[in-house]
Amino acid sequence: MKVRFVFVLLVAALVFSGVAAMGHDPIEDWAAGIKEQYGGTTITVAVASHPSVEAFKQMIPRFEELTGISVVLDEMEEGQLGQRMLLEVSAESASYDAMMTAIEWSPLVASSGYATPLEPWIESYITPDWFNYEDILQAYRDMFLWEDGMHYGIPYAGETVFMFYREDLFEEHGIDVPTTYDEVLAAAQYFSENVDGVDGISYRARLGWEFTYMWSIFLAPFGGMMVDPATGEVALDSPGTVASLEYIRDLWQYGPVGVESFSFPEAWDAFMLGRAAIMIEASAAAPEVENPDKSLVAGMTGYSPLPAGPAGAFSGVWGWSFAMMDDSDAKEATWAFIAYLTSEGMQSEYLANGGIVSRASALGDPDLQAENPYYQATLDTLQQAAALGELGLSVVLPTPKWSQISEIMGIEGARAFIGEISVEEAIASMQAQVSEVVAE
Amino acid sequence: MNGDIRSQRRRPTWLGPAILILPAFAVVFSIAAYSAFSLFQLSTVDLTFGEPFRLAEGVGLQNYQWLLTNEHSTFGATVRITIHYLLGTLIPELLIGFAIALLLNRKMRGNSLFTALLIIPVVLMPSMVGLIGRLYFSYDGLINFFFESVTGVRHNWYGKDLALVAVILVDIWEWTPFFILILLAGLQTLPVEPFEAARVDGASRWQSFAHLTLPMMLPLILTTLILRFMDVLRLFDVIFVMFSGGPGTATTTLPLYVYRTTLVQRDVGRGSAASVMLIIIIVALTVILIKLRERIKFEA
Repeated sequence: MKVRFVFVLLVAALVFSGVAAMGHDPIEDWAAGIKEQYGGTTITVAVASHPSVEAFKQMIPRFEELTGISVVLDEMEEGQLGQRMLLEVSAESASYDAMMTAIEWSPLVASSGYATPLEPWIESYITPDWFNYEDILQAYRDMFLWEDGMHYGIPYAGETVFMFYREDLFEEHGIDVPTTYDEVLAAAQYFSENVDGVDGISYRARLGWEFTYMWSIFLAPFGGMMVDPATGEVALDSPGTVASLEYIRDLWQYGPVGVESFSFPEAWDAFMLGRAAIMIEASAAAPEVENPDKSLVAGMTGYSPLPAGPAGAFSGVWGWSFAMMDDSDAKEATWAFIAYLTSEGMQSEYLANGGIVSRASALGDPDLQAENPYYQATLDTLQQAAALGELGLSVVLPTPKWSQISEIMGIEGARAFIGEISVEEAIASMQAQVSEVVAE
Repeated sequence: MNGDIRSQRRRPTWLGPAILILPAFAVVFSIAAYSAFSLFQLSTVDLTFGEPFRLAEGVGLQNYQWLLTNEHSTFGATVRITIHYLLGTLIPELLIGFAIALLLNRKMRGNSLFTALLIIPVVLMPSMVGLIGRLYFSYDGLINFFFESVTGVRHNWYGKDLALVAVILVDIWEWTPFFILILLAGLQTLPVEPFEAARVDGASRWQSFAHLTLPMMLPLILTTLILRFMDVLRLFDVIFVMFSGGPGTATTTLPLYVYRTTLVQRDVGRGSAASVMLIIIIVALTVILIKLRERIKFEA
């Protein structure tokens, strides 16, 4: 009897401890510790309108509830956020605790001391075990690496450029998926001339940074470059640069009418409405393309890494991160906020809310790969971006002067694209102007 | 009594109002003068937007020289596009606006409702107007739907030949009601006696319009033109949302040039220099228009 009683007690104890262990949530445990130390703090974060921010907005109420930290989001349009950042950098003061920062801005916020290096924070006691910094793809982490060897942003919305193509059309017309840019041109011509209501290829070519964004991925495959990695000199006036600009101008004739004014929404729309057979665009478009509520080609689209040009196959990386302002007097609470939202532990919720994948664990997950047919192309394209990096090249120059350089290339390139000036004149002009900016 | 007369003689009549208006004038003038001076000062330095202002280096008038003479500068083309835009918007807006105002000045059923509806495009947010324009003028948009229905042809409004025309048409749609409302108000205040006398004398409608309506309305027409002229030269939002100044530089007017140079290319010196020249152009042309208006008023 006594033995049976002891046995029952033991079983009950095991059951209770099991239940207790099941209820033991590492996120809640971490948050309780944060709440004890930093609860009641208010932080202000500047963000741009972006799908990732929409995902975060759904996650922030729980963060606030768990940690007692109040978050004020100052949301604005992307260009406005960039100008706000510039104004704050020039005024040498920060009115935010954290800011959403693009790869293009990172050199400026790092070199000016506006943002604080994040290594000490990644290694700090505040960082939870389930944050897992190493799981963020290295190509994305390194977008926010500055000359001092420190990182100035935690990426959460990595982006690359790959090729979208209509599997059904390619199959129906017996055309192989292009693996070279010559094949892309030929396929675009074929569909443009032989399929009613379908243009060959869609992409963006709007004046300014959008033109530079698109053109920059065509530079290296044609042997072009912005800066010679061997000498550090501006090298836009190379035959490869001329060839790449001529190539995207040649593609124009097989694009939708008005492609010269297309920003990304028009380029995406043309493909999603079934009016283009190929699209070379940002990977961020893929979730939209696969959304049957928005896209007529959901489930009919194939994804492949970028084709090869005469000098090889390359792509690039772009993306968004959270940077923490050096002037912030609530760094602990701000870091807790950044670590929570961008962690591996919160990744599934972030992705389910429409966030953009940036972590190896998600891209390599077979279930997620099956759900998201573009994950494999993303991984393959990141290899192409790594290959570009191995040549010492990049699609965004790691310099605080990038926005000036990008604007010059985007204006002169767009002028040549529509025939306002010749390609040679455009290249000579951008070589002279960019050299002047770099020399200053 | 004598003392009162003396004091009245000594004190000019404008002195009282001048003293009353002086504080407001001083505040407005000093803020405007300080801003203009600061802008001019910025136009003489080499400074990258985003760098602390203490790093600015004085370069004299080199920024002006670069804008006006450098082979890579697109400032001249920008001025040309701005003039096209100015003439392409103001002349049709005035003509259409005046014609509709004359029609609405007659007693017709539904006039007041129509006049009230006219205000809608004017009060819309410019960025929304730009977005509407961007959608309507796309190749598959509403404008091409109408064109195709009537002529069987669709046009590339996003292309270099028609982008500026598209922006001008949007401006005409948005701002013609402004002319209608102001000119209609003016027409309704015209005295009736001269028109009755002209009718008694056997003047035709055209003669009444040419010799009475038009001369009496000219000062108001010029005032409206001056207001719109200053506004058109500062217009940014609609063009920015529709085309960002492109394709190429086909819709880069002066305000867009200033924006792109200062805030995107981050060249504060050249952007400020372009801005100073824009102000000089606006002020000079406004002074000419005001002088013209004074002369017409005097002759009338």
